[in-house]
Amino acid sequence: MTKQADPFKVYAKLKARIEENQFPVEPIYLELANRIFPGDKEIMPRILACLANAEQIKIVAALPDPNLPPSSGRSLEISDSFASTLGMDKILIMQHIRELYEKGLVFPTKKGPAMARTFIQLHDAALGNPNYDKSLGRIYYDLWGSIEGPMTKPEPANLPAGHASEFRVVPRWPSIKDVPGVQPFENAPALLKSRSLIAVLRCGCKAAHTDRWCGVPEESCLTLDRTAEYNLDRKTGRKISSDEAISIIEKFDRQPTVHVTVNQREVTQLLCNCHYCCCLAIKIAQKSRFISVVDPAKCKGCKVCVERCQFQATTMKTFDGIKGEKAFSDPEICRGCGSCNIICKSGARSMKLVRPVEHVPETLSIY
Amino acid sequence: MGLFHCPLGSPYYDDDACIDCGLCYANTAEEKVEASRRIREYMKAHAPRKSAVSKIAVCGKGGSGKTTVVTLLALALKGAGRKVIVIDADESNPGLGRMLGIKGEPQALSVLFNEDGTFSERERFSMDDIPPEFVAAVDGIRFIMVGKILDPFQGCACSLAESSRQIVEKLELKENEALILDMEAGLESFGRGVERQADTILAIVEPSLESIIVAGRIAQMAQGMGIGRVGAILNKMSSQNVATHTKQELEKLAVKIYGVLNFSPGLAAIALEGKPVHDRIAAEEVGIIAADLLKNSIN
Repeated sequence: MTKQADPFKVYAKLKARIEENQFPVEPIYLELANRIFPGDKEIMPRILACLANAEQIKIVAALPDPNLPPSSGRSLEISDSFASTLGMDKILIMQHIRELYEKGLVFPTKKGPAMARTFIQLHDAALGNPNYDKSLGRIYYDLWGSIEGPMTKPEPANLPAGHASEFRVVPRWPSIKDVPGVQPFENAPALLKSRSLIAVLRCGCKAAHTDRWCGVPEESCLTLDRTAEYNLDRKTGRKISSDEAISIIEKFDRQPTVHVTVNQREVTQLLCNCHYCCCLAIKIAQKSRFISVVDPAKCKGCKVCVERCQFQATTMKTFDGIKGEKAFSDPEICRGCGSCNIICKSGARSMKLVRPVEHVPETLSIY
Repeated sequence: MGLFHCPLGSPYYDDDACIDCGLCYANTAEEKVEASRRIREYMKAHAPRKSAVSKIAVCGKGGSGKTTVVTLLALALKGAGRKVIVIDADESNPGLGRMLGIKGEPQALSVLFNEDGTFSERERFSMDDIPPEFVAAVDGIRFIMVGKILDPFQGCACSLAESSRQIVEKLELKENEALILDMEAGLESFGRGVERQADTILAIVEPSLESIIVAGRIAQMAQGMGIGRVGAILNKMSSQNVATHTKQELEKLAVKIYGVLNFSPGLAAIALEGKPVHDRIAAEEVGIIAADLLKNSIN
């Protein structure tokens, strides 16, 4: 069973650690942080200070290289004149850029190397590389972990209405495999089989929460296609076959995790294995097309599913004509992840298809 | 929005897959609306082109006339110059071979797709690779049977559905070949993904509410699989009124209608006697539907 912790106590400890390890930052970090995450003077400048030293941040501030010929294409190359303007050796600059690329601050764009453009772009890239864990230190991860506040369980109120969610829950495959009408976009093994490339990464969200209590292995982020290619190039990921990927998610059937992916039918980005103690996506992840239903006559009242449910949908209650308290999943709150279903030993739970295909949008459209 | 959330799967801004829609760096609602519009335009322009009709799955409620329509459609497509292959994927119904006029059944193809079967490891195969004892031919129509449940202890039809899925997925059609699948009744096969490799799905609807509802579910599920060409064929329509009413009900469920077959006493008698299907009016009606399908004029 998973050890439960108080998210508020964990957060207070985290804040205290950050207070203890305050360090001053140069104005150049503040200026660049303002481009990525306007308004924040506390966290983002320090994150950048961890990622790039004084010499490196000067290079980042001067990017993109204005003298790069437009024909050179997407690369980490820079021009000779860029090096001479900065007064640094070109080889040294290239080495710095390569390091910053692997750390996730710099990207090879069509205009040559350039700094991350948005906060989440940096978040997803700069937390995934375990090779720099030692040099970045715990305080770097604590800074990231503090941005999201206390990691409480998802509330129904967190869920945006209609299609206006970036993420969706994918049911655990064993829970729905015998339900007629399962679509390819909710069939996790089929999703993985249909991709051209898969790389498994250390999950950046889990890395950012050094006090997480779910106990799920860090190597749990399945990236697909171009995202996998990018991560393999940065040496953050390990290439795996679709069968290996399927065996990974099968192993996670014993873990308190929920599959989350991008809220559209064609999944070309990633398949997550999330727990609320270390993941923000799970709070806003749209419900699947299924709900879990309990047969109170079969339920033995062991409460394992009550503890396993991350969405506070499962409670114990009494039913007419049945002795003792039995589990009950609120169909209004249940997000249809199937976690309770696959751990139920008494066979009291089943998944019921309740929403039409249109529930999952063709393509992610926030508006 | 950022690295892992791009609808097009671009890992970061200005990657090769990036179309600069602006969604990842949009701050205001207006910017997001504008970015979403660009994505939709891009997807419209880059949607995979609709393929020609080559793999047709015929589905519907039990008793709606799937097998009869499959037979008529096979004859119509043959008449239009196609080399027709009919696959019987219905585990429980013995009628298709007889309706096509085939004497004696071919061996069940599922044998080759079982775990130790010679075809289970193959990525693709063509009709030429299938040994002759598994194919029955009559008047230029080739007939394959996936398997039948005859023994009450044979158990679940799942492994047969899995064989069907593999056959449809792996069978490579040559130019001018057309495949017609006679699916089992209801929706079970959809759950097993048998239809996924089809490019056209025909839902046969008889004048009954249940049949209409099943057609609605078929259209919905097929759409979820990304199969664009899905429509209903109205069968056993006894009068104009019945046809109009059925059409209206299907339109409410957003099901497209590909054609109408009127009730034919001749066909009903043939079905009772178990003779090969032969009915001039019904053949003409199906001929129109087949011609429309081949012209690719319906979608």
